[in-house]
Amino acid sequence: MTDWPSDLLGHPLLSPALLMIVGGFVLAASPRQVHGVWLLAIPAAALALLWQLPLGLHGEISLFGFDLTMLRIDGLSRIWATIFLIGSFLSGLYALHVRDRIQHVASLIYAGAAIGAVLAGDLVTLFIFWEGTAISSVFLIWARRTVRAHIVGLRYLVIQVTSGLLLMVGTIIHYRATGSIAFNHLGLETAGGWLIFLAFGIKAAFPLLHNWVQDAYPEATVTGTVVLSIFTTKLAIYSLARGYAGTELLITVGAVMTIFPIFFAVIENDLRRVLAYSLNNQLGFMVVGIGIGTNLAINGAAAHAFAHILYKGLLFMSMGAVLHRVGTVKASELGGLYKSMPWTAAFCIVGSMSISAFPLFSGFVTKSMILTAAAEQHHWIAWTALLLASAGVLDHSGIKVPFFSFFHHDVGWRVKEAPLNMLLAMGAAAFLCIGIGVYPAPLYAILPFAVDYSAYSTAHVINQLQLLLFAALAFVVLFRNGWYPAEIRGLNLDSDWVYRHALPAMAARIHRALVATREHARAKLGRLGSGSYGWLKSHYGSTGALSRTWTTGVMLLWAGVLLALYLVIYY
Amino acid sequence: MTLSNEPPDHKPGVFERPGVIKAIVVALSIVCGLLILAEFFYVKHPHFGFDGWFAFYPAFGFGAYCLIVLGAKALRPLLWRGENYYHEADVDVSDIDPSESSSGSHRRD
Repeated sequence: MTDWPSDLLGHPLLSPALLMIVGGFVLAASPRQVHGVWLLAIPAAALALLWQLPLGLHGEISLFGFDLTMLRIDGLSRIWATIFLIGSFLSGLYALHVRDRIQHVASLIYAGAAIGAVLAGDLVTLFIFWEGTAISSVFLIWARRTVRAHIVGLRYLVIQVTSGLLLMVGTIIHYRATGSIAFNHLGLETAGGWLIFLAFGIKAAFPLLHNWVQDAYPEATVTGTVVLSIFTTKLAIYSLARGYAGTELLITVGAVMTIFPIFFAVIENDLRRVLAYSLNNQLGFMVVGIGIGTNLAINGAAAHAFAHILYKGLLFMSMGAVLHRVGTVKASELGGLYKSMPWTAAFCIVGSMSISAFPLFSGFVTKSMILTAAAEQHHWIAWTALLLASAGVLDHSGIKVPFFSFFHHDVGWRVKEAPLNMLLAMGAAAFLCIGIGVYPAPLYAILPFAVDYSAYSTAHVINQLQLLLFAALAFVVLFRNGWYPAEIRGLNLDSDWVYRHALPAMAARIHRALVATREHARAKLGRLGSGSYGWLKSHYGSTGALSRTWTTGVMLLWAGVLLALYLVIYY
Repeated sequence: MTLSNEPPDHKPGVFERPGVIKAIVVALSIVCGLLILAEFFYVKHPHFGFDGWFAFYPAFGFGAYCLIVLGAKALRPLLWRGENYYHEADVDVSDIDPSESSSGSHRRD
């Protein structure tokens, strides 16, 4: 690691986030031959810089009359920035073969924006980088260059920018109420606090606000989905941990989040969409941890986010490799790929065992911190929900993803193994998944709070194996009896049905109703008009009674009659 | 990109041989049996009481798995739609069911 000049450290321009963003723009203008080096060197350099920065607040600048803090280095922000940079390095390695400049540039800028948001010491800086992640990441979806990806990207962008607007309005209200823009504990006591909570909740994929994840991630490019899976949602988890730790509502929200996506994951056919549901379910574990809010629970959320980025990235990488080689990741079209892609299959299984939290894999040493924290605080309902969700994880990510793609029945795909750089990236991620599981001490050492916790007690290892292996036995029983739901083509309705079908249908219906009303009114007016015209014509037309020429005598007679009538009425 | 969807060669792979599959199932059953036996040989530290019941984790794992998978299966008739339900598929993309591809050319707007 190089030694940076100490008087420069803490300068706002010497930020890992800006290094990534500037690196992205430089890559945009650099020849293709250096892209590979750049994709690996920039995250590595940014990681070195991050760990050179001393703990504390740095990089203060004045903007629009506000004192902004670009760099807050503490236990919470540093672990997040670290895993973001590791994730960026691995996804860069995974994407080395890609010749699409836009994807490389977007990946670096997106990662930089996410790191900038994590290191932000105030809400204005957070907002700037928050929107930065939205705008840069959508290019990873559009880079798929299909009509569907274009539509999905627009929808994704609208939702992400909406989250940013809520953050902005919330920040303004919060500032007027408290006079501070510092990004510390916010709480739900003020309206501003609620709006910011909602902004975080959209990006964290809270129940019913979640569907942008499952809508957008499976439509991005092979490498883009890996990148997307790392940053946005985990940035939201970080923000919740910073602003709303100990908020009881989050326990309920998180518990629901762990449960309901697993039902969708079980019947979903697109395996990258299965992983998107699974991602949602894993976020739920972290949200519960934040809601509990004790040191152990926050440590658990941070450690689980760290492990999650690695194993979820690994799983998306393996399915990306399948998509790259086979051209589809639909479970109904796959099977038997272990013959063609044995390394990818092996790495996928490591990812599956990590997310399922088998002992000696990363999920085991991180998820259990959250469950233990829930038990210690006597949240038995949340604890039971997390245990139920753990059995669900075993199904959709532990069994379904590897089983239906690499095993099941051989449908005859004979393809090449994934490219070398993809295998290296998957291998490195798999190595870290096992490394953390076997030797968690280095991870525990960088957690926000001092750790007094060991996952490897006899009871915990046995209980976890009992839970998982009996769930696996249940799979065997269901599958062999033909009770396991078949993998069939199709899609499943989720909350996006509201804005993809119901609202447009309602708008179309209202439009039709308005058009019908207009036509009706026009017809009625037309009839009325022609009726009035006829009446006028009959009276005032050339042959009408009122346009006849009257003699003076008749006029006088009528005037007399009218005057007489007037007299009668008056008396 | 090599795309070939030839009929499978008739040499079954390791994981397709009935003997291997049976061995895996038997091994899993034996390990599960041992895990039930293990209930007698370790000290439990239940947090709530019910998590200290005999074979709580095995029963919970088996039951939860069945509940989730069969529950999802029961939801499928309610949630399942055709692949181009939202009419967003690309006109010339083969990634949707051919029987639906004709509707792929109709755009909602």
